[in-house]
Amino acid sequence: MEPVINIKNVSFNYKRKNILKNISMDVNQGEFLAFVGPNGSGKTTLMKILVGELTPDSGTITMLGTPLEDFNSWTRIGYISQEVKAFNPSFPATVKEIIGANLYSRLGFFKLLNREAKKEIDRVLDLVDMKEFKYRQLGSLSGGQKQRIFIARTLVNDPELILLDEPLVGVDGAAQDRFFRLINKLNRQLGITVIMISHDIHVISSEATRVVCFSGGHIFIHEADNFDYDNYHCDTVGENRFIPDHEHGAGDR
Amino acid sequence: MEIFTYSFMVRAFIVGNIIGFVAPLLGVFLILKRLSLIGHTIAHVALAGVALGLFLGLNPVMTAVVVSLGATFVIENLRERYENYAELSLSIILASGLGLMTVLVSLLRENARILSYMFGSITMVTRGDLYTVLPLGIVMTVLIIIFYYGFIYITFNEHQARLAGVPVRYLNILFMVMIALTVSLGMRIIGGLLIASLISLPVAAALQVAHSFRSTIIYSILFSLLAVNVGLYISFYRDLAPGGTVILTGVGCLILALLYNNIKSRYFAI
Repeated sequence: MEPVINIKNVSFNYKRKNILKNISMDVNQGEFLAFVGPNGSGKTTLMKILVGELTPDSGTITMLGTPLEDFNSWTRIGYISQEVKAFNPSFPATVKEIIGANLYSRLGFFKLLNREAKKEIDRVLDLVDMKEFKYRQLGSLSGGQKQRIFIARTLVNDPELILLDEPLVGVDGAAQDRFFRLINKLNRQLGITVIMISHDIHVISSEATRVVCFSGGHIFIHEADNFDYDNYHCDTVGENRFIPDHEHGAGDR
Repeated sequence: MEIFTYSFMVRAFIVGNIIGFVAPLLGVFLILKRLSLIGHTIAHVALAGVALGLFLGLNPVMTAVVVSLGATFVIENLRERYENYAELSLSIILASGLGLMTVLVSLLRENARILSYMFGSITMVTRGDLYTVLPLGIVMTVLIIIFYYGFIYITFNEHQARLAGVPVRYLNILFMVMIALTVSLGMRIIGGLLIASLISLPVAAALQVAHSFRSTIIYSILFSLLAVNVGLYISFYRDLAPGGTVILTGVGCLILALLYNNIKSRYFAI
């Protein structure tokens, strides 16, 4: 089967620094990939390249069968950035309006919510168990609730692939568990391919099918079952266990 | 109602209400994009356009429209170049507009006309203005309805909007053109130095009482129309500059909205 994403010899430089050096990898349908590595190792850069926010200096990427430079079916991809941390909390829009905005390309000539769009909003709010928050202002919700609304916003377009950039920064423990149950459901039951940047070993060990380590501009891909979690359990911050810097052997790519 | 026996007052009320409807409608998106200075910047550029028109002996509103449209494209271009310093593009254009206006005003033999464009004048609204402002008001309202959720998404998050298929660049340019037209046409009655306040003040008041994006728009328009009508009424009977009375009424609305919010959160908080 054709991979969902094909990355071939991709390099990216920023201010004369090689952030990504000649990276190649495939992402297959239904996979759950975890991107791990220290800050500045290129995880977010690669994710931003995949959603067209950055352009690589060299190399080619094929996204859902189309070269990335020609790709315009962006609604087939869901991207959840660290927006929950950055957005204006006093923005007056309701949950319904925020999710409705993502239906833009499916609305009619007048970009207003029609009956079908309203049904879709109810469907995804049901999926993330947030239906009673439909008329609440987004800024009045907790970090975990906002993140579920952003997931719902993504799901409203039935994406084939979801990219998550450290989605749980600033979200409490109980909300994290609910969030991961949701992501697991999307990946296992709905077959959505998931790529997530995370430092949390617990998540990676229970959810990921492959682990992609970013280090020194290179990537090293581990089968999740073979990933040596025990040796990486040494760095503990609060309740989360993080993967420290580590060496990669010849067996890794 | 003696006030409506004067045809110039009827024209002033019609044009004032159309501008009073469109300005906050666009203002909601502008304020929530944190670009409220755009209105002030374009207003200064438009005044430079008026001065240019007067200097060259052309229709000053038309030159204001042309010059401010040109400025919107430069602002949009500079905003992309200084992506993380959006307000820098505005101060560059504001300074250029003000500089050009000052030079042109010093070249004009009489300053009375430019002053009426700066502070607004009820008697200046002509039948021709009415025929320009009415269709443009309708077109701009229809455009907002057509692209409503696109504009909301761009206001909330441009990057995510692009992924949802919103034509971000196209809508940004369209929006800037609408702002330039509103400012240039609103100058006649409200005044170039005050029109930008009609874009921002009602929105500031609405944000205190609204509970959704849609209700922010509705309250903004209601506050704005209240300010325009009460302001024009006071202006007529007290012989005051209409721009000033309209804006001060708008400030009054904002103070009332702040008081309402304060009382509500202090005594009726859930």
